[in-house]
Amino acid sequence: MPQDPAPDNLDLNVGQATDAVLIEALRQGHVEALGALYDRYAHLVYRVALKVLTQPDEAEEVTQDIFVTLWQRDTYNPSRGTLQAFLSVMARSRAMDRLRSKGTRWRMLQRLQRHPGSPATSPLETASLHERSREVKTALTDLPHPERIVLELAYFEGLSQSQIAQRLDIPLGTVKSRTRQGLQKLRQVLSDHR
Amino acid sequence: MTSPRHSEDWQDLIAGYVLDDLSPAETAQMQGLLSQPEIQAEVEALQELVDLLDYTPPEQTLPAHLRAQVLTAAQTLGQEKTQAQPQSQWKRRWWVLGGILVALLATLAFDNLRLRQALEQNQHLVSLLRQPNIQLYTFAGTDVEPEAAASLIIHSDRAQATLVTHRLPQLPAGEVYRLWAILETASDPLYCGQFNRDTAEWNLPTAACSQVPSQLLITAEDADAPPVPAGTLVLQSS
Repeated sequence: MPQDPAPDNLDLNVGQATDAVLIEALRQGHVEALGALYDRYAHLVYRVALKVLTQPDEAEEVTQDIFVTLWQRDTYNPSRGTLQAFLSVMARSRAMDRLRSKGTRWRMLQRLQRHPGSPATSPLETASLHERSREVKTALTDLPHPERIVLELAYFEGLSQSQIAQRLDIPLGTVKSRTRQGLQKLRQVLSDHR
Repeated sequence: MTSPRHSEDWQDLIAGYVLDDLSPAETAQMQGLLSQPEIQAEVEALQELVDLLDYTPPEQTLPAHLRAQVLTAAQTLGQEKTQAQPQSQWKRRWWVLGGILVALLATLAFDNLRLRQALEQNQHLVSLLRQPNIQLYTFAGTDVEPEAAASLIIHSDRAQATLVTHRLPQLPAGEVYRLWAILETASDPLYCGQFNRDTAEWNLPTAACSQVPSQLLITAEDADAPPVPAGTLVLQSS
């Protein structure tokens, strides 16, 4: 029997390990475990971040940030849910924080584009699709938390209304009414910006 | 029905219509409103909003270089337990890094030997984890020691156990912690070794201890008691 395992052998074992085993190995400082968790969940984290931010380079930074933070200060608690859900929440939350911090600058640019003398069309009409999407998502950060969270879970994490009700521990009817109100308030926020 | 004082009701109906979650009664109500141009315009505006919320850019491929970048950053930054909030801004990260370096230098000056011992211990654990045929178990404290925890590595090829405990008090002289395996093939708990330090390594008393158990238990026992669990249960595998 060989004394030292071949690297391929190690990768195979790590790749087949459960999330719980990998998290424990990560806590023990095993960087291969981080690599295996990255292979498993980086696509999910990147997709959620990109959906919120619409900019690939920013989604990339958020993805890196999340996995490095998981390595440095792992705060995952298995009793509160799966690692997949934990990373998905983290991706959405970090991306929204970034959107919020850049929101002020974004709105200033929007106002500058609308000064007298510029064409009569609104910036929302002239901007590219992903810029318009980003403006809507930035406006979302101005909504009250109850309405904002149901929209975030529905559109950024792809949860159904019943899954949202379960996650937030609120009745399905409340999810429905908050989604409707959220959409109306979002429209109002965007109207106020123009 | 479509007077301005009812505009809030329209808005709610229109939002429900765009979100496709109207009740049958609301659907009937909405059908009556859809012929009005102002309602149609409102539907279109909200639909655009939903489409923009739901929009994902086409560049969905995860950049291939990112994996190596993440692992390099992780290895460079280490696993320092700082109090800083995890922020993405590099400016803040430099402050955190500066703090870590200052703390690290102070620690080195204060207790270099201890740090080196901890490092050797970590390297030993990492090298153990690199071995094939290992089983890794985690333990949570029972009501007796709710804050205690432990991790156990069973190396089945070498018939060895390596255990690291956290917040498990050291027992007085004459007492030890004992590890027991609950196996489906045996009716009684199987004695798999004892320890009384926060880090311990020992040879497993029997090959059966390398089998995958249904549960592992750790009890506090008299050191000279027979290998039958009679003491307090302090930790159990999750």
